[in-house]
Amino acid sequence: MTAVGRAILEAVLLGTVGGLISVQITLRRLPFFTLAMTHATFPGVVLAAIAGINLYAGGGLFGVLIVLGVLALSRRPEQGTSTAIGIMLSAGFALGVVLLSARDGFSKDLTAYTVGQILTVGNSDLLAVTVVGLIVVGLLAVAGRQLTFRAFDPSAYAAAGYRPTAIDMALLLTVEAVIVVAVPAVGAILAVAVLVAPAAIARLWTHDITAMTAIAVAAGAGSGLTGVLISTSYDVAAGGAITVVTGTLFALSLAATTARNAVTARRGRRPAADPATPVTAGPQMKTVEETG
Amino acid sequence: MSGLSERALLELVLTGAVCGALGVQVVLRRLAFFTETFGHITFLGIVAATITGTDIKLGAGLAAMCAVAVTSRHGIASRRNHQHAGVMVSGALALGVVLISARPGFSKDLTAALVGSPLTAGTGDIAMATVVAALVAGALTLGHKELALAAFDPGATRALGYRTRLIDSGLLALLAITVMTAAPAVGAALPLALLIGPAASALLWTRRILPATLLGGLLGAASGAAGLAVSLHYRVATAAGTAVICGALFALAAATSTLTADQRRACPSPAPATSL
Repeated sequence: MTAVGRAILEAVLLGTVGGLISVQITLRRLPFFTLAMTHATFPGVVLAAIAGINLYAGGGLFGVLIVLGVLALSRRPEQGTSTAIGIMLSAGFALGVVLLSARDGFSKDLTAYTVGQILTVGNSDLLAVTVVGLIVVGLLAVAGRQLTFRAFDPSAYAAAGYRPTAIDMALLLTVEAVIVVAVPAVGAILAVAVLVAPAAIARLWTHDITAMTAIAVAAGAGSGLTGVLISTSYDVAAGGAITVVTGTLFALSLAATTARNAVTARRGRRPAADPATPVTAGPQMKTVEETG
Repeated sequence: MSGLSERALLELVLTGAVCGALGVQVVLRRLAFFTETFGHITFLGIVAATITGTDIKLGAGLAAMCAVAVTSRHGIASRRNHQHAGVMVSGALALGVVLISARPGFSKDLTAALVGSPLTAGTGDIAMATVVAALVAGALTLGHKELALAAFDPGATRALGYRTRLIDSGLLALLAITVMTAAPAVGAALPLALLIGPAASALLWTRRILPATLLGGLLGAASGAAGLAVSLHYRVATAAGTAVICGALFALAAATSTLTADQRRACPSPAPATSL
């Protein structure tokens, strides 16, 4: 397979996996947390590159530490979680930059880690994305109902005898696994687009979780494909191109659904999916939610 | 010490002090995510300025002003719109990366736009930072009562006849000017660390706003100086070193905070500024 073929495959696989998990991220209102995790995984990947060990192993180990740290922080309700996440985000990114800058050829390395190098992915990278994809599908197949239950009614979930911490941990670790495979391909600062934007697009069109997942997967895979094609034909950064396509898709969806809702509202009918109202009966993650 | 590092020291200390003092408002209002959005949109402005060859402060300032305008109208910082903000954040960043990657040798420009280059700060940058420092200090002193009131009880502020929208917009404009001034020194990705690291640390040591603002400014200035010293000594990126020190400061503050959990819980917790 050529480099471009592998890049396209990687982008489509990543878009699919990202689309699947992004619905859960959106339902639990974790976009800011995801942004922080992508930035905080960055020093782990840099450390792994410097130490010469596997990038996924280094990023993954660091990521698990971060997940545990966030769960520990969120157990202290008196602390502003959004401030703690914000500090973790910027200081983590800065730590990665400091570590990188100690080496020669700093600008080029930083570029590779922050915006990714999807054109250099090898067979092992494709294998890693596939494995993580299977983990995500497995999690959704086994615990999909539980995840939705937990998102929509945390107290009923606990009262029904389930263990909220266990399911939170499973979700956060899976999100971290997706981040770890996404960072080398699309970069630390753009990975959040793969993990949040597909569901944000789907959310505009429907309230139904199954339909939302389908639209999110299509949007993720489609942007991956289009982005790599644009990048190779116009010679611009691939990670950036993928994200710009996703962003454009979001802007178009927002415009289209806003116009549709305005039309239905004028006819006196209830709008199908008004972006201004919460998706549903208030899904929330009490433990690590951000308080904008 | 050469003139180069003296200018860098002055620039970092000034930027750190302004960010530390204003950061107390950001932490009280829980605007961390919003500030991050802001920084990323500013990045687009910096890139546009780099490409067209104009002053990057101009580009950063214009982008920041647009962000303020959009934010005060549509309420991007409210919890409901978090995914929208998330898409905006990465969209603006990605557009900047695409634009900059179309130029040859783009790695160096991207690095400067993302993490800044305080060692190349000129006298113009320092003069600007001084003016903004005076402006922020003046605004925080004159508007102390109103800002505190609006942060803790927007309803009561409105009932007392203040225009909360005006206060909120004023705060956002201050934030925009600060991010703009900080752009040449610390880039688009790092102002968040300087804004909330020292301020959140100060708020862990004292719950009173005026002492916290002074302490935040002091800690911010100290972080800037320490970051430069570390970077010169170990030859690592200067602005990133400063940001790591801000993070370490917060970890230290969280570990040594003299306020007990009970005291912290008893303190009035400010309402999230959902109206922004």
